[in-house]
Amino acid sequence: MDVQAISPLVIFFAAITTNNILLTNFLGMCSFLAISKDMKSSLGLGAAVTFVALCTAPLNWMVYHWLLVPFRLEYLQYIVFILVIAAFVQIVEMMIERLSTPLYLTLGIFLPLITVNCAILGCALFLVIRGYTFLQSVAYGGGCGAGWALAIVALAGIRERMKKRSKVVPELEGPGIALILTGFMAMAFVGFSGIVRIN
Amino acid sequence: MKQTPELDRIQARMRPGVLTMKGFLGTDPRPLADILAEDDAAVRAAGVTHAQIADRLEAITRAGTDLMEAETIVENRFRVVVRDDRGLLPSPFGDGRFSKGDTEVTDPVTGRTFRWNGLTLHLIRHHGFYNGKGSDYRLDPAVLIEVFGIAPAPDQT
Amino acid sequence: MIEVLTGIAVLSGVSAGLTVLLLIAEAWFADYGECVIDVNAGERQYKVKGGSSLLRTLSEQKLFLPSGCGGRGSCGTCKCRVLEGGGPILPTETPYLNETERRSQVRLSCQVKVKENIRIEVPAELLNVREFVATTVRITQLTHDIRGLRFELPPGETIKFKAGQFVNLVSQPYGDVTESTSRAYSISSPPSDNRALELVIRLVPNGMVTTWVFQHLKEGQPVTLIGPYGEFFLRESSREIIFIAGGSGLAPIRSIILDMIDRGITHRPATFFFGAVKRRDLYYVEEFERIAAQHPWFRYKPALSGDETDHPYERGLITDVVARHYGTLDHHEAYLCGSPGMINACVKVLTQKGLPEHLIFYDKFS
Repeated sequence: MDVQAISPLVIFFAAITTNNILLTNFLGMCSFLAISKDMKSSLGLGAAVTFVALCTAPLNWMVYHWLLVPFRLEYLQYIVFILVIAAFVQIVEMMIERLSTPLYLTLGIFLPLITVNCAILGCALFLVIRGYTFLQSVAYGGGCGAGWALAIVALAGIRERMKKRSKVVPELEGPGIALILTGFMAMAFVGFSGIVRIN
Repeated sequence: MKQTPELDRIQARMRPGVLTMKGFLGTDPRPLADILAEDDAAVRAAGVTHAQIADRLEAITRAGTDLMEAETIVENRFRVVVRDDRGLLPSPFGDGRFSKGDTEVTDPVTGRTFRWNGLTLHLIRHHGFYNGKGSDYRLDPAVLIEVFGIAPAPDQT
Repeated sequence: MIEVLTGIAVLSGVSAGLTVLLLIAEAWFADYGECVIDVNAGERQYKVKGGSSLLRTLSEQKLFLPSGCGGRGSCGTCKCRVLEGGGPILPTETPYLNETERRSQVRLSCQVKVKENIRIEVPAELLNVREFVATTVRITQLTHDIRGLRFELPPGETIKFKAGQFVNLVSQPYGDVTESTSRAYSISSPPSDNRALELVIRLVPNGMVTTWVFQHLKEGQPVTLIGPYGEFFLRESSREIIFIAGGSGLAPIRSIILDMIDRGITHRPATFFFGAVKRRDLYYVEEFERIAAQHPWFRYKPALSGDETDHPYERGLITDVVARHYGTLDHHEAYLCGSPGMINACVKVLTQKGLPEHLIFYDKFS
């Protein structure tokens, strides 16, 4: 099947569900486990990741196809993608601090975390491996971010509820139970698999 | 105890010339976390608290205060001079400013001398920090406990 | 070979390009343009370049808020009210602000970033505060650990202050001390001597600024002074005055007494008690004895608490000397300057003799 014929819309929704970057590829776990303790931070970080993924996916697509491919320097993709992501995050942080202090206080503090978020790099690498077109990349980037946000918000919801109602054996409190929950969520997402194929 | 980035920042403020001329660490090369841990262990081993030690030293300062820097004998043993320098020193932990007039104590029995001020006592009481080894203000907790006879509080188990 | 070179070239190119982009973004976004800082409802207005802290921006405009730590956010002294344009309170400020301060919009000026037009309120006397680069013209060894310093202002400049106020003296880096630091010292010269300032400084063991003054400051050297500050000055009334000082606390009292002579205040009897341990700790004795001889309203009572006996001065602790000297204090007013310990002890004695606390004035330098 020709990947480039898939509608960007399909790719967007598939990236949230069947190919959720966190729950099927287990990328971006560190901040996922650390921040999912409370809902407010999860929403902030989710929004920040979505925004950065949405913007860096097309940026990295352009850098790859217009710079690395012509010079046959594909092997440099890792380092170049990281550079692009880091620079972009820096600029966005400056912009947010300038434009809105409340937004900076809720979102800005998470931005430096995103520079090293593997979900963002993973997203850039997948769109290259799968040979997406520019429009598909935009959709895939947005989908990846939204899927990651959905997963962390869902986990934060579960953890907040569990804190109130459930007793967890002390040995499993914190990251332990969060990993088990993530496993359950991943299994639930397996239910989506097979509906569409985007690679 | 692990050296946190917060402790790194505090330790940076303890260097000579940042808050005070000679700093708080003397020649002690260890991370702040280790300095705190070792002194804390010594205090625990003796069954006393940092607050008890600070209270004891403060009582000696109080006995020598308001004498216009004249030397006085406290408890028939310690020769005490409390300097009357005005002004305040900021705490390296960033929690306020404390008086800088030094209390200088000589113990003729052991021949030891001690020096502390309002900031030193605050650092002991609230942070369990006794200055680094080699600092003019270093107060070895084990020596303090012995020389000033600090005993475990009776209600402690 | 070519491949390696193109690889390096492209990677360097990408890095350089991104750096340029970042620099452009910084110049663009971190440039907050021109902001207007309005002080005390229009009393002063500064057009400034935004982007740095309020404390720094104001000091560039020669408005000096008191600051103990030099803008590091660790002393909490640079507070001022920010009525508009300061943004929300930052986590770095919360430890230093109590509930009432928060409600009345008090902020730490070193943490507030100037990003837009700001309206602030500062104590009115701070508007007189200026920075002077003065020349050290005379250093006098007054006692073994106290020095008198005289600084002359640049030609044409004068300073206006109330007798009793203090200035901040800024030290230069030396030895291990890599940054300049400032400490507060009372002015000992009278306001009529407005082309110069005199300070009395006592060496503090390991003191960052006093060590510089004693070991590095030479006659002829320029120094930076910031001031005047302080609420310690003579109140208008007809009450009899009790001055009590110890150590370098003599400085503001000397300024006040010389000012009384200049202003012809002769209707208020005044007695100056100066407490010290030994004879060698007394200074400016001849000057005060001369004043006492020339002005019948002034009496000078140095007191020594040490065990020397061959002196004509009062004996004992300053508190005992003051207690011996007065019966009931019902038409008096007291001005104290010295260490916190001396002040506490004197306040106790004075209140015991019936002097209400609101008539006892002192600057604890806290």
